[in-house]
Amino acid sequence: MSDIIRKQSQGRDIVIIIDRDLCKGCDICVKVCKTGALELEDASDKWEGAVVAIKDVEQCNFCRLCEIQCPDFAIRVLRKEEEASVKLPVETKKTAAE
Amino acid sequence: MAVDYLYYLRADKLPHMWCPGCGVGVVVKSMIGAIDQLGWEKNDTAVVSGIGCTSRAPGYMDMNTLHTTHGRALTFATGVKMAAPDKHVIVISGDGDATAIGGNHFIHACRRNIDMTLIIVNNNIYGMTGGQFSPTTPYGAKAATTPHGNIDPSFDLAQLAIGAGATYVARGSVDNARMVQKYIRDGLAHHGFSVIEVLSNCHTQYGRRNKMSDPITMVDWIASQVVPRNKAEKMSPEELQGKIITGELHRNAERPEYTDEYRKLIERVQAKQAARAGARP
Repeated sequence: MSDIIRKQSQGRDIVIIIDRDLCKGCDICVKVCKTGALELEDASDKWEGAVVAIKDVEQCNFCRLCEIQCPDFAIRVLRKEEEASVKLPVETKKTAAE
Repeated sequence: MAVDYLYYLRADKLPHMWCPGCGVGVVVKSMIGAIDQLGWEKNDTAVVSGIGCTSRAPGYMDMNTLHTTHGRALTFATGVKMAAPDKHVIVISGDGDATAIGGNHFIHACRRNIDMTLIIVNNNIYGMTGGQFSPTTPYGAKAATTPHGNIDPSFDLAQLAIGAGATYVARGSVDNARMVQKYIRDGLAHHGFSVIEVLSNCHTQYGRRNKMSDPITMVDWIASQVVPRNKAEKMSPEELQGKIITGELHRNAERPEYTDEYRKLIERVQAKQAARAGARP
């Protein structure tokens, strides 16, 4: 039901999580990212528009601007230990359905 | 620590109805961040709204929420606050809802200085109803009802709030969500009526008619207009022409708060009546 992409940096304590169901492809996160860690990809499996994708997680400098400026709650940039305290849409949707 | 946004949201209602790139989502996120920073309980917080794009926000928030009639969000919120003065009341409203349809309620809520926070998402237009011009549409801008350009001078919402008596007034813009969150947090923490105006983008209704039909161009346009207050103090009036000053614009902790005054009034009258009852033989 929910379409989550999760990528973790090899050397550093950075995790990027994208909910493809929430993203509307507005391009804001890609434009605010100064290091080019994100890109838009074609999302013909979902709709005629685009959806954000992680280009290279190693480029991320953990400024979290994409997360803060995203109007759709679709992107999270987290430390590994923060992941446990943050709910993902997929889990929340499951709980709501029950 | 990272904010758990979905804890404060009705996740089963997502994705929300706002257009791709709409600033309202950013403001809602900043508001959640501010509530999280202050550590407010969801059960102790009420979010009230009227009608409009922005006013759909409480529908997505998992708190005590109230979606009311057009422009009357502040009156309903005043009722909530008077009935439960120990609870936190937040009103989220658009520019048309707060200052045109509900303009009278807006100035009188400011005048009373009741302990609430009003967040106005100013996107220069009536987005939901089809792009009619609002009191904040800039001079010369095109809208559905001003196809040849708007000839009405626009409101300065922050100055209006200061003039009407609000005790905390700040202005932010969606291109800098971190500052918006800071102003909302300060406004929520302030004891008295606080107004936070957030300059936002409506590229669908405003931008499309004014050569800024995508969110990036329109957010850049907003970013090019705003000047932080401390920088504006060093600028000449000519340089400030056409600029909008952001920052914390007004703070007054002296004025009495309305629910406090009301409590004092009740105590005074009750003491008077008790004395009168005691004096009777």
